[in-house]
Amino acid sequence: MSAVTVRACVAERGVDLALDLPEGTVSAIVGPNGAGKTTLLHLIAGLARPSAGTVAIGGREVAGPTRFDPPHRRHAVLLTQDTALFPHLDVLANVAFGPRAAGVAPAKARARALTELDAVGCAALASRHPHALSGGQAQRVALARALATDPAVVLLDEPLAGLDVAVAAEVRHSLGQRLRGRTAVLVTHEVLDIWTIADRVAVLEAGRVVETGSTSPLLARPTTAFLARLGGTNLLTGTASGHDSLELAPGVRLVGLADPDQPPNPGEPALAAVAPAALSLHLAAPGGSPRNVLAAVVTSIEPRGEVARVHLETAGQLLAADVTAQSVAELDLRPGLTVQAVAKATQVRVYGR
Amino acid sequence: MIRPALPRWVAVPAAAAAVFLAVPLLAMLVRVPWVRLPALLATPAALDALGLSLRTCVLTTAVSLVLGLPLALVLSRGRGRWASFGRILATVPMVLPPVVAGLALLVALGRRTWLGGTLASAGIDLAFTTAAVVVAQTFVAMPYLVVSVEGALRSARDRYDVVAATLGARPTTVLRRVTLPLVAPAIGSGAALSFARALGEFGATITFAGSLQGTTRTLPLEIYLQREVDTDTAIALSVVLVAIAALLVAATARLGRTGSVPS
Repeated sequence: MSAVTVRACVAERGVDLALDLPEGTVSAIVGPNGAGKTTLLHLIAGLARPSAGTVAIGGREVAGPTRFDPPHRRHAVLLTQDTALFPHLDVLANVAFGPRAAGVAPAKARARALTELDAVGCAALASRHPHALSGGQAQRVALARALATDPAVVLLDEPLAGLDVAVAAEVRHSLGQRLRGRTAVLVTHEVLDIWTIADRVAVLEAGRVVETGSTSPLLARPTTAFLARLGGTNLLTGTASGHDSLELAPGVRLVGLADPDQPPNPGEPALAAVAPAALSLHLAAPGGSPRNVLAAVVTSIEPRGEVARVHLETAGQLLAADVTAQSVAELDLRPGLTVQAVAKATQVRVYGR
Repeated sequence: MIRPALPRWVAVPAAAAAVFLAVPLLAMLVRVPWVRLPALLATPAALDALGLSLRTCVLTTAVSLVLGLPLALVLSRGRGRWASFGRILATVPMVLPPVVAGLALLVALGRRTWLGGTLASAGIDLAFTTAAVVVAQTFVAMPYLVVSVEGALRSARDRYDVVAATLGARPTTVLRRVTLPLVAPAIGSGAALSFARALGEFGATITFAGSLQGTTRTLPLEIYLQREVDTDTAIALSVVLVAIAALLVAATARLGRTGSVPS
């Protein structure tokens, strides 16, 4: 059964979304900026009104042509990057706010708040005020405050953005622990969040849901450039020319290992995934050996610490290769230069659509 | 960081301004018959005026809060022409000459007007009553509360209201537990300003409510009356007003300091 069903347009934001969120699973929402991710959360929370279509939570329509439930009647709680802890209340009162608003007696609400704070390791902060909390503590308190309302769905809008790396890791751990088994929607740009917190992924592009599925197959066999980039791999498209190869363009062939779960069908569209680190660049094609060699033109070079990411174009498709800074110098890589990108067949995964 | 210094010559007009503001107050304090002060303030007329002023100002502040807060809330959410119109309407009494305000009230609520007549036939007769004093004071003082609170509400970000609603709080709960507490300093200083403005009200009160000892003759009216007859009493009463004003200013400044909510 779907915990949340969205079939809704918001015309002024150019959004037309169709999405089902299964009960008890965390769905990650990814996509470029402006794809409609936050609008999706707002549609569920009651902060955006659909111009057409419906939104249902727990099988009950909360927004539709003749109905619009305000946020406080939806049991859909929103967590944002800016935690918005109430500055005039201490941590305990912040977490007890939801139960109190639902009519729970003060003592019982405080007890519940303490339990939730304890679950995120913040019980010791109960009497502090929000301004005396670090960013990570504030985010965990906000999580406790959200969960204390027993929400039907937890909506998270990039809760880890703006935290520094070490702190984000701790909060990510708390999120993963506390969200397990709940219905939640997590908007993120981080593949790490998807792996550690989400069970499913939905990709949004230009206001539409273009892909949904379970996390690992979707990241292992990306079908959109966005997912591939998110998963840190190159995505090449073409036509299957065999059971383990595809033709990117007439005469340009790529051989790899067929994915056993989704092998390509000869003559049909096929995809190939190859990690940027699996590519090496040469000025002349190396002889012999079962390798793939693609002639490619350098478009830009992006320094990334000890490696450089070289962006290339081959057969009209984009390709990224990670090479050492030393190689960049030795090959005298620069935009416009034609190079040979080489990949072992064992490092190319070929799959059907 | 050390800010670049102001040019030295600024000190001269600044000092002149400070002296200009301080001299009248100092002159009055010097002139106060301190020894006879208790006796001067204990006369029935003085006590009546003092008591009446305090009672009506407390009532005025209460009415301003009860009616002005909702108006500020509505105006702060308003957009477009009607909201701008409402904001102007709420500020006009602040800049209106008090005599004109009193005249306007007289024309609207006087005994011979339609509205006043209707009220009178319903048993509510405002003319020359303490209620008329409160009406006059509220008319000129409530705008201070409305403007102060509306400004604070408009500059407050709505993220707290949004989060409170998603946490399941009904609009009334959001208002009571989040929106109003967050603008509490502005409510406090707005109420203090309204109280101070009501305390000093003269023109609207004398025009609309008249000057009956014990009923409508507030402190400023009594001071005006005594000013030529008995200057010492007038000055003694004035000192009381100055003291209350000073207390209110100090309280508001304190509110501004301790009440500011970190974001």
